[in-house]
Amino acid sequence: MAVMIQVAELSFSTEDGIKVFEDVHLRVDRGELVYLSGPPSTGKSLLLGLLAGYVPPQHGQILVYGRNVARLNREKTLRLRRQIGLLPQGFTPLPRTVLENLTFKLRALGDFKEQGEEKATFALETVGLLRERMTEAEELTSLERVKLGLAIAICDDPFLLLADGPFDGLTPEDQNGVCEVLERINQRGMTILVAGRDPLPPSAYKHRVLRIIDGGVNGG
Amino acid sequence: MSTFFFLFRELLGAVRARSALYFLLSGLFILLSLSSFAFLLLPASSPTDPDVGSPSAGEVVVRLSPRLAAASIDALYLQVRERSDVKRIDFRFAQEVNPGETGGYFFIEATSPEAADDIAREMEDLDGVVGVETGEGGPPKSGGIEIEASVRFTILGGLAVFLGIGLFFARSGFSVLLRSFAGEVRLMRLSGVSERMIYPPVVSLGILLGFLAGLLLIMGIYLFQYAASGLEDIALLLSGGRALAISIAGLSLGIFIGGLSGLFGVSILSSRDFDPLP
Repeated sequence: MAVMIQVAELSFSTEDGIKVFEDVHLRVDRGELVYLSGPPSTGKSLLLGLLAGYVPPQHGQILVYGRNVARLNREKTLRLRRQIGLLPQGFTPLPRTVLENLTFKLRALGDFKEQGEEKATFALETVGLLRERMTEAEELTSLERVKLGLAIAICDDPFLLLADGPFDGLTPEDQNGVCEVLERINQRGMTILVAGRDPLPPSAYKHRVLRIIDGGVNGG
Repeated sequence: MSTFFFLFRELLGAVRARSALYFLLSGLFILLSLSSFAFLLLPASSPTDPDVGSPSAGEVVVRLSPRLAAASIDALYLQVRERSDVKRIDFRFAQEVNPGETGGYFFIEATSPEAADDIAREMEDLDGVVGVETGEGGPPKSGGIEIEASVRFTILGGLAVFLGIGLFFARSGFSVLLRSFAGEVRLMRLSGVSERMIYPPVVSLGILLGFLAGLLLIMGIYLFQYAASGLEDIALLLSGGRALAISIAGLSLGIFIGGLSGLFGVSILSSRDFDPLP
């Protein structure tokens, strides 16, 4: 199976010299849905930031879709980011309607109005928010907000979705609801890496779960 | 291009009362600084006769309005030449005497100093004559306004102060505007939108501000010229295409200042508040 993410010998320390990662190895295959769990402040968000090229690696190799993230220039890093959908931790939607949240991103990326609306509608349908497309984002429930964040992340049809803390602040039922949406997105062939705090919802254990402990990744 | 216009429209749409007030104040002070700049471009004095030299006794120098038609100048020339107390009359275009000035001059040599006085008195009352000087060597008998050097230095100081205040308000306006647009900026950066796409609408908004201030300046210049058309000396300050030259220079400076204020706006975007990841 083709490799989507390949991390080898990754080490990372903070400015204070605290080691966050030491000799991390990780592999995610194309089309896979993988969960990454661990206690708070163990570097889950940092790992996603490294994979998406927001944080430059200090030591080791990170290959995403065959591209060495450390060696990409500014232009190529931007191009890589356009091909990675990222749901950041504590995602806050724009104070607009659900549809406008998606079309803003798509139009900023160069799509024309009709093209953007078409892509946005498809993404909203995938996450199950099509009926709420004209609703103001502030009026959405917590689960719907996460769905909206996921829709924004996938609306431009990236090859990789990185979701950081999508279960934070959700009830167990809603957490399972997020898992269902992630599975639906994965069924479209998109590779997904989801980072979440322990414990993950039960539905997550149907898939491969990696654990970050003591600066390393188990099960990678 | 469609992305630029989309983002520019979105940015304009994010302007709310507070940022609008700051931009309004900024535009006002930029306009004041442009007006000061325009004032500094005016000649030190209305072009009366400083460069024609003081006429000697028995000579009269008559300055003619640039609005006087060629046929009227011809008729006046013939009328003066036919006088018995006139020995000689020459016409010279004002540009020959004072580059940048328009209109013309009659250099009249009278038969006697008394005759020169008579001629001067009669010429003063004629339409289209904006200044008459006789051989006494004194100041012109009519016309001419002076802008003193001290006034110019005061205005130069005013220009700097107005410019500083204008840029301060522009920066405040951009700060308020961009912070209300921070979610959009973060989303764009998260989605891989290049900074080269994010910055131009911000700079363009500043340029628009300066451009509008420049347009108001041009309107002001031409309104002033229109209002002062009855006052020949003041009108002469803006004669000879000077109004157009000052307008173009003022508009260019306005666009430059606006661009500068836009760059201040761009500098705000480097704050951590706009980082895509927490």
